[in-house]
Amino acid sequence: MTVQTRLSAAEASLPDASSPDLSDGQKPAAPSALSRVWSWLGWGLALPGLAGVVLVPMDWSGQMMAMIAVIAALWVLRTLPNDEPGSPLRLLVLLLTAIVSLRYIAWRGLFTLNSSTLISTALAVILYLAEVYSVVISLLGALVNSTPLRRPSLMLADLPPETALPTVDVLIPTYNEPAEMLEVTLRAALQIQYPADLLRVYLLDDGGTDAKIAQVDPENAAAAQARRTTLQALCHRLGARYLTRAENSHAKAGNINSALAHTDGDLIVILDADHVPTGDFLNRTVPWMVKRPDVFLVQTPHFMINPDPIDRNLLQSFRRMPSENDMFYQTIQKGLDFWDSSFFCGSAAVLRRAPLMAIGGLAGQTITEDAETAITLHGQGLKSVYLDRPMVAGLNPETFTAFVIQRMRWAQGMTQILLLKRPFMAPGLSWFQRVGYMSSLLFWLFPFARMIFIFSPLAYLIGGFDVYNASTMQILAYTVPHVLAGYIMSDMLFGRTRWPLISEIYELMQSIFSLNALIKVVANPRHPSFVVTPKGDTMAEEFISPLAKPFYGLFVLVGIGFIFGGWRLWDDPVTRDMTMVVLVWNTLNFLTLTAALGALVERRQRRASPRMPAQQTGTVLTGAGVSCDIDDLSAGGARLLIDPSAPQIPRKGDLIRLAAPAPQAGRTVMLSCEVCSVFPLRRRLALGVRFVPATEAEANDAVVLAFGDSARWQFFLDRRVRPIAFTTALSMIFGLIWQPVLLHARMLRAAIRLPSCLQTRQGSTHE
Amino acid sequence: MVVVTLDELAVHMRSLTGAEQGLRWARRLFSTGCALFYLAFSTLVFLMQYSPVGQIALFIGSLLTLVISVPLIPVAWLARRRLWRQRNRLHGVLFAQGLRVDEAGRVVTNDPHPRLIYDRARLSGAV
Repeated sequence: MTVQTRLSAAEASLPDASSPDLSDGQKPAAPSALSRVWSWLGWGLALPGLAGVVLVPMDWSGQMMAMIAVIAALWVLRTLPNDEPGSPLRLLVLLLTAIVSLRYIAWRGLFTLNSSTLISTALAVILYLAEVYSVVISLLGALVNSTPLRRPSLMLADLPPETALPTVDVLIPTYNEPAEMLEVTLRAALQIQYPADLLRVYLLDDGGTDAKIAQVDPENAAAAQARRTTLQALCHRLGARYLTRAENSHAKAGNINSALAHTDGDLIVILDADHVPTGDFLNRTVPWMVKRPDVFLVQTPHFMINPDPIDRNLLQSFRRMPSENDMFYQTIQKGLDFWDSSFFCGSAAVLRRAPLMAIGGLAGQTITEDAETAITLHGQGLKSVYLDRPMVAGLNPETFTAFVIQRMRWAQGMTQILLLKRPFMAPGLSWFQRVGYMSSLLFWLFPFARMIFIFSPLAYLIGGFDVYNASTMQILAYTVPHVLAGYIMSDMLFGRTRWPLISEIYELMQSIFSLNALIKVVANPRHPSFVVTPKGDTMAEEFISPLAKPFYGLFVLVGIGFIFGGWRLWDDPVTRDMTMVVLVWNTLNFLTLTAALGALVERRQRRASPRMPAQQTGTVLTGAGVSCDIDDLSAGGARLLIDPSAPQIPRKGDLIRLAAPAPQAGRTVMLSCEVCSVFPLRRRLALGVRFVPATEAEANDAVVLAFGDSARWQFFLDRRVRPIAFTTALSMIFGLIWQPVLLHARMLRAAIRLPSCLQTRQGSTHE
Repeated sequence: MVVVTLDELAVHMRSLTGAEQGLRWARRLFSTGCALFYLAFSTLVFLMQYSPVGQIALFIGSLLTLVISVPLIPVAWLARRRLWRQRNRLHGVLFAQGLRVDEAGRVVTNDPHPRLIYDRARLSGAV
């Protein structure tokens, strides 16, 4: 290369530099009265027109001709450039899909619910309601994600030089997380680039409250006292401030509210105990607060550095496939942001103190205090900003049990908000904010629909109930186009961040347990208590999740459905067509369920702190110095790749020094390391090293090197987020259904040889 | 091909841009062909099985569409495959040298803190 130019920071933030969107992140000014009149007039004409198109009567043949044309049009439209927010083609795809789905729902409601018996009719209505729910969620999702907002990059350096920066309190609430985990988070928080006199870091310990120390059980009381002493010493050593309170009321929200009374920063950053911030967190978030006084929240994504248990146990594609929360943080939150309804997600966010104090601190009526607080503040006309740059690295729950605990809490909390806060009629919210919140809240009712879709074919195959009264030709004219159009729309909106068919597995895995939890909330909305998600578990051996039993039961039931279906196919020629259709439906359920069984075998995991790919260079300082590539990295160690022909190759047990540039910090860090392993890898020599920091500064540098760089997280995400074809996803699922068979066979062999080793922690209730 | 100078990189990028554009068109052509085939075939099946007499215009229209789409699909598919391979090969050359093309069409180093190597808008291509 003859010319190399270093990109400026702004250019280096690639999506921002090329973003065609609004330069200062502000949307156009509010519409005038005249434009509002036109807008209402437009809606007044459009809605009856839409209703006419949806309800116009057609026999099945006319419907089929119309749908053939619409699906052909959608097929072509999806290949045209339509990924620009607000593109007319994009809106056309959404409109056509809405028409297809609404015609389907109208037809189902008007013509297919008549059944021979009362029970059949009841079951048919239940299935219909589940379908109505799915269509409503799909249409709300289409509206929310029609024009995702890409905020430009804004840094402290972009502010006028005389700007007075606000003081910032970083609050890290903790309940039962280990001190080692907290140490990394505290060190990273203390290394955030911001004027030192304006930044304070607090550890809010709810595991060492006065009430915990004074509890009756002497063992638990001693443990709480020991925890308090340990964490106080840790905070003292690092330069953070330790806060606790008298009793553990209102869980995390109560903990933070208690801290708000003892702190006075203009802005508040809330970080979960396992959420490690990068150095530029405040550099990129605070300017939005300074420039926009009406903003109460700047939310950033939760970037997870380890796979969730379904990914780890079954899919094993953490580095290649968008993870489950990528769809929410990289697509949906941007869609919500356009409609001024991106909401607080409990961590990785900056909040403005004044409006928060004005409403009495974080809301504590529900167990998802984050979204609840955002609804209240949005209702007061305040704005939120969503910045799509990963600047906080967190941990996914390691076990399926922990995963279910976390998801049950989210499902229960969001349903509590739906029932108690009623955002559809909450004062102060605009109509689009109501739509945004309802889309986010109603989604969590999916377990009802998912279970109905599993049991409905079984009701027909095993029980003989007519739950779906339609001829094969009607299904081809109405149902198939509805499914195809839904797929095309979903692929357009979410194709990059959620691969086809993967959602089915995730939703099914959660449905069984979330359904029970949701029923409890609906029965008593104030009942649920905050359960802390266990993080940082390790598994010495493989074992079958203790939550597996219901899945085996369901698996057997769906299998029995095939036997009855076969018999029905042979025995009753009149209903043969319908039986074939229902068998196809049951097969899809069976495939999903079979794949899901693979996620129930908890794979071995020995490393407590996961390592992430690093893609950077360094120097091993042994004599002359050997240049190396840092292959992966965590706060505790790294894997270095060196040339096998290097003059002085370290051996196992050697103590070496590693020099590595930390680009975000703008300096080179020097770390003492112990070589734990040496082995050949990809024509290089790999050194597995463990950091053995000699000083506090060196320990800080290890955290800066491992977690300080948001560009590294962005780079990782950009490699992973991409669409795949439906056929590729289908072949992936077919590949996965063998996994459970192989895994269970291996488990069976292991169970015969050795008793399984189980190391899981149940979630502990946070009062 | 091993890219070493900016001149060679400029030529390489011209090929890559051409391949990307060609691939986009081939994809659209293939999808259009498939959609036309699906439309014409479904209409013909429907007409032959269920429609009463008097749909001759629709019948001829579908037949013509079918005649156009049948050769279009394999041609577009082959073009798409050829351009897809060419595009991947050209990207592979850059990747092997630790480079990639960013969203703005610039050649940058393939790491979290990319350095600008070649920008057609800034440089004429001369060394």
